Amino acid sequence: MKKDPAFRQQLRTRQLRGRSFSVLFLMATLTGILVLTVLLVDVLRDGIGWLDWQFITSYPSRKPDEAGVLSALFGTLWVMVLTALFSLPVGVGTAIYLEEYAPDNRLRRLIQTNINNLAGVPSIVYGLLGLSLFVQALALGRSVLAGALTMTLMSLPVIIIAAQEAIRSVPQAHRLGAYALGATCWQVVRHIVLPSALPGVLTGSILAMSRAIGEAAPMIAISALVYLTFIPTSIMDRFTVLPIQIFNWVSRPQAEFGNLAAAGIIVLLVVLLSMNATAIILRNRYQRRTEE
Amino acid sequence: MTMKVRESIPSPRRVRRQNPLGERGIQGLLLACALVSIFTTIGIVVMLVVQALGFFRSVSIIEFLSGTKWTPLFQPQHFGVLPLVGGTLLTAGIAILVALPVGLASAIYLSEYARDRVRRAVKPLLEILAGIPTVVYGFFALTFVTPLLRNIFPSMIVFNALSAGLVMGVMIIPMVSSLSEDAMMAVPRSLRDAAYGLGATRLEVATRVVMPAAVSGIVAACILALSRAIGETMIVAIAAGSTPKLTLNPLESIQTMTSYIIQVSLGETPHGTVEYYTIFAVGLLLFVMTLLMNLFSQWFVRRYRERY
Amino acid sequence: MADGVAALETRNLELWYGGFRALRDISMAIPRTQVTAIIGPSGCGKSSLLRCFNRMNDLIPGARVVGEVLFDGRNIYDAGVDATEIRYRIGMVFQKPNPFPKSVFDNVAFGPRVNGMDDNLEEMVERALHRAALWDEVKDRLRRSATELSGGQQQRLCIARALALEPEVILMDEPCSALDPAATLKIEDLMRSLAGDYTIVIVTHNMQQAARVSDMAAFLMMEEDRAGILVEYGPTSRLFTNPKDKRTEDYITGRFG
Repeated sequence: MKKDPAFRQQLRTRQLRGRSFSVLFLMATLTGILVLTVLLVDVLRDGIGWLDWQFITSYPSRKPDEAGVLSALFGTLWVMVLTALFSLPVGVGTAIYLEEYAPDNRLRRLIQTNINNLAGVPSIVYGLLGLSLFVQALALGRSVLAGALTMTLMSLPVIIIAAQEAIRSVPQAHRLGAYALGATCWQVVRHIVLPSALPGVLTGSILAMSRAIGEAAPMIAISALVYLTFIPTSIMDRFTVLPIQIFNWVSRPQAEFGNLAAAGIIVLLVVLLSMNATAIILRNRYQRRTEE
Repeated sequence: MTMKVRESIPSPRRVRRQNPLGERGIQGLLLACALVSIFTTIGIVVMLVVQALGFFRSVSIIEFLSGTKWTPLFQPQHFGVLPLVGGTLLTAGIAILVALPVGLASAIYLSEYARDRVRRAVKPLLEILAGIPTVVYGFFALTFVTPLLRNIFPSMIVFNALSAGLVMGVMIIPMVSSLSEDAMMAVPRSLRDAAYGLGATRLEVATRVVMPAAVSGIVAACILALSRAIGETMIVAIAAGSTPKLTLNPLESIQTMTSYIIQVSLGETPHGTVEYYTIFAVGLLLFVMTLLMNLFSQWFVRRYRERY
Repeated sequence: MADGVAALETRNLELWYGGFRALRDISMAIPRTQVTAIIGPSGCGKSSLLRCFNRMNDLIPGARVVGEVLFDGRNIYDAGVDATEIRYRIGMVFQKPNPFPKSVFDNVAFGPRVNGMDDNLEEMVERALHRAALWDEVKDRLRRSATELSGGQQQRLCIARALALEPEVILMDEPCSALDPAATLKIEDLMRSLAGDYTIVIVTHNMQQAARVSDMAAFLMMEEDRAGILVEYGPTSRLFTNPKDKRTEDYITGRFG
């Protein structure tokens, strides 16, 4: 039975099946990367010719040759900075509360479950919340502030989850060491937990915010489709952002606007890429320091 | 004596000593931060329900949920949401048909086949894929995928469910893949060893031991990805059209719940009209659908968590 | 061997993990249908050696074997030998019971199923469970999850799972280290009852266990370069009563390890 030729034959078939599937699995893994490459090439091919200084420094225009992303670029930067100002303290505060302060009771579990669920709420629903709460109920109008507050609510769950992970990675022994010296909870957080968790917190938060910045849907609900030929100078000004501007251009039938959209996408990707690069540099610097 | 010493060692949570006012003030502040998320949820629910009530004063909930015509923006008005739900499920369904096999296969590759070095090279690339803004995917669907597909299906309409669904599928591949991979990596090595020791090939170990053992995580990943596809907005708003239609034909133009909300947000629909309130009724339905799916996936993981 | 028929034989076996040599110059012949114990202090490469016998080390990136392991007249490391077939013919039981999170029946049926022996599955499963002295305890719960069994039952299930393939050799890697004394005793009885039909190789850190169950014993030790070597190999009774090597004597009298 052990030298059964049928078994050998069958084993060859099994091995062949295994090898074919491993090729299939590899191809599946490469699918995403292939599409990513095609997408980037497509965008570059359509847009790079339209990307010049004039494009960066001009306002939108009905004439494709004169159109640019100035107001959208500044709008995006405004929203980005304000969102960071609001969401970082609240997000990190929540994470600290959940990880260091909250006793393991129903309130903590409720908050945690609630955060997990909020992370799964579609972005457009945040847009509707922003529209009725900030734009209308609080009468902020279609302002930068309303936009940034909406972005804040949307990016908070992701920031909190990232910050919690960073805080959790601080060794328990460090905390116990400080407690043993008579430190209070806040002293432990302030002097032990935060310094070593901060790079991780920042990295996670920046990545979370870069996701939010690329979102067009909630901003369209807040800002509608505007044709702005000025840069916001206060938080109560109307604004537009890059994703909205890109959407606007994509929706027009003329081919030139398609090129403008592609050029706009390149600008947006550069903004996001530099945010990601910052996050990665932070992470690397942090890792090097812990190795020393 | 020893008992006393033991009691005085603080447990890491819950130490409140010295400078009670400051400590307590800080704790209150942090709690306030944590409550923001609770208020966000309450805000979403109250806002959606209150505004949707404005809609349901004019339209019965039965007509909304069972009507098969959706024409709120022109006469004669019909408020049957099914065409939007149908369009949403059609595009999300196409997306899952793409993302499920590809994402799972790539998860198997990454967890069972790939060397560490390959994994470290591939995963950041998949993260980039997940980080591409949806408006970019929409652009790609409309200006690249649609013309490509129109060579194959000449009858296809420019704005169609297929392109949007396919590209959306690519967008959620990283989600399916990374969540499933996490679930598979959590399967202990000892189970793999046992299967190899019985003469299983790598493929048999992956499909007969690792995948069944990780099934709760894999199912949860798929539900989350489906929920993400249902809530996805910009790809469909750009590439799938704005023709609410109950159809299974992916070559046709359709409209999803999300792209309808975008369509109304773009126009200057007067505040307070029934047309304006439609977006909240649709938004409420969307919120309930995705919430139920997310809750279901969490429950599923808890209920069917494997004990190894 | 006296009759010259070894179930497994290693010749100048070396095992490398990347640039680290874990085993050096192991030459031993394991007799058929007897129990051979591999003993030695922890970290000396006992388990690594055991895993050379069914090419489990193939699964560790960077692991490499030099020398020969003869099984059925062939070197199992020759090109053209399929590791899967080797593992099908040489069963293995691991340190911690590792039943699949499936039913008792599906656990035992796993090997026959993947290796395409699906006819008479019920009968095969029952025979294997009888052989592993587990049948009476599980016959009414074949469809229930194997993870509900006690640790000792789980380990006997893992033995039954290996037996279902009718292997020629069964490798056991410290099979009792996670079990209580009562469960250990049952496994030891089982091993004795299996010897005679099967060749068994067991790694153990427990000297009394080696003395109780094995016919042959091999003593491994770590050299200064941290590579494991075979110090002494012979009949268990002789090795334990009259060791030839000073280091073996020191170890079995408990002077180190």
